[in-house]
Amino acid sequence: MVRLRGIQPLLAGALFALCFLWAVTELRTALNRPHDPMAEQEAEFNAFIPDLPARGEIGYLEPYENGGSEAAVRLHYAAQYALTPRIIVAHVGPEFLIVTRGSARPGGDPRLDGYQRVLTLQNGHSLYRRFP
Amino acid sequence: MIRALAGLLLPWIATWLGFRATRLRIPGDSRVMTVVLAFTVGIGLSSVSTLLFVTHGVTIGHGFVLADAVLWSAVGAVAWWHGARGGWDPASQSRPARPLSTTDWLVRAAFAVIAAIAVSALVVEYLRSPDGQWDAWAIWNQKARFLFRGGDDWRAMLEVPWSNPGHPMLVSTAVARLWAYAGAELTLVPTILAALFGAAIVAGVIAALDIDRPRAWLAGAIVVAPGTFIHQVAAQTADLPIALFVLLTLMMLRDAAAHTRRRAAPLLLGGVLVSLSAWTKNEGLVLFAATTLLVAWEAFRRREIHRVAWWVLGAAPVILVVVWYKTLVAPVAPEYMSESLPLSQLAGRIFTPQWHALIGRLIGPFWFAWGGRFATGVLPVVMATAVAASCSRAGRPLRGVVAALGLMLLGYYAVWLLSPLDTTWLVSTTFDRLMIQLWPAFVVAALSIGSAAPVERQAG
Repeated sequence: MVRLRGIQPLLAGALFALCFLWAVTELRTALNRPHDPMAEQEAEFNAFIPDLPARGEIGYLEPYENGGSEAAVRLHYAAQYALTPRIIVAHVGPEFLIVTRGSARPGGDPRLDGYQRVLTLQNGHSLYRRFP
Repeated sequence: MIRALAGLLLPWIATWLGFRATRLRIPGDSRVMTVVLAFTVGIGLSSVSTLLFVTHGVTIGHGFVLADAVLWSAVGAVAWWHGARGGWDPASQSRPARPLSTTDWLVRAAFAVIAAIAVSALVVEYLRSPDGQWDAWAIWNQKARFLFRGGDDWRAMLEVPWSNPGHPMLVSTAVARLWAYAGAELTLVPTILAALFGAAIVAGVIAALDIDRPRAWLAGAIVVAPGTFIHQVAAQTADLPIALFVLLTLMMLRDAAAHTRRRAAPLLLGGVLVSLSAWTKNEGLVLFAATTLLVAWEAFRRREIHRVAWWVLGAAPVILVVVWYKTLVAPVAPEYMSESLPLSQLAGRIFTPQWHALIGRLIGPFWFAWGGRFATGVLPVVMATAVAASCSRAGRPLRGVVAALGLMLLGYYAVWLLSPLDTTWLVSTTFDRLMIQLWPAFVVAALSIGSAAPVERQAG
């Protein structure tokens, strides 16, 4: 038989109550957390798969401005996550180039010289290709 | 999903049968601790065997599943046969059950309520972020995808700079292995794996403090309740798995220190566990260095050199795999040490008080706020209580545990101090995760205060 002595029952009760409060608070935080868009972002890039080689480097055009923002970095990482085992490199040069919506400079982006657009998805992302 | 569960159970059961066959018993063991140890070692060793398969041409696919299933079934069968021949009685492993008092029922009910809320929060987090948090899809699960989808070309993952290519692979190989069993990339696989690691931590904490004691259930509640812990379970990253390895390694050290006889098993298992922690995250190498130092010191002090031999015997196989992986397969320095600062700058940082003051100012608010809303101050209080517990006469076996935790904290501090990355960014993005790695072990040490360790009581 285990018996608690002295102030131990009070202390244990207080600590359990505190744990209850922490857990409930985390449950509320989780309920209020926004939906993570990774699944949607992944689906957007998955649409390119039929037109891409099964492996190798695929170019990725960084946004012409705010390329280092968290949203821009996340979108690039999402492209890599979706299109694995291809390697999505953040520069032009490879035969295939992914141009996400709004990342090319309006009115003509010199980084796209030598590339031809081969596909534009409904979500605004495009695939460019450099033909020999 | 059923097939993934089969893949999960195979090494778990084979390892349990292996414990049974070798009669590997730790002094303070219980059925719960044995199940937790079998899960932890089974997941860890099957992750290592997965790496060995893929690096030797058995890429993830049907052939891999067949080879893996044959391997673990064979291990289990040999262990079962050997164990049955020895006439080992599993029931002898635990003390006889005793009737539960009202207090026992109350603390168990309180724990169950808190655990149920934590599981609910976890389910909600999964529904919100089925792919886990940033590091899960940028590093761990992405590498698992390279293994699962890449075939012979899985090494292409080394070309993704932000995924820390040289990081140890326990989580990624474990996820890829279970995807191979499932035959599909189910987001539930890394989620359930993370939940099992979380559950194993809670069960390990309760078993470490003796399941028959009310304080063990309180410790389980304290470990699981903070928002930071629940959020890390949902994150699907490697910080929670390494927390389990840290906890179990240090419990083996505690048990070895608490007994004058039967030290071989905890030291051997401790060696295996610490090597698997190094296969989980680079911080495991800090744990390996800290605990090896402590084992060597204790062996020297007691003039028992064979203690080190058991430790080295347990650790050597997986440590060799880690060294091989890091030097030959993926020789890429971690991002936080990608370029080393010149010696003059390193010396400048070490000997300039302003650098230490800067890190102190950065750590302070995170240290107090750790745990989530309404949990302010819980980390400093638990750490201070753990130190106090180890300073008492009854807390002698805990001194190695607290010393190892202190050395790990020192290692983290050294990285914050010496990394070429922006210190503010580095501390703010790593503090919560690094503390999760030590949290369960600190809770066990703190909740041991004013009480002889259960292993001592049993030893009588």
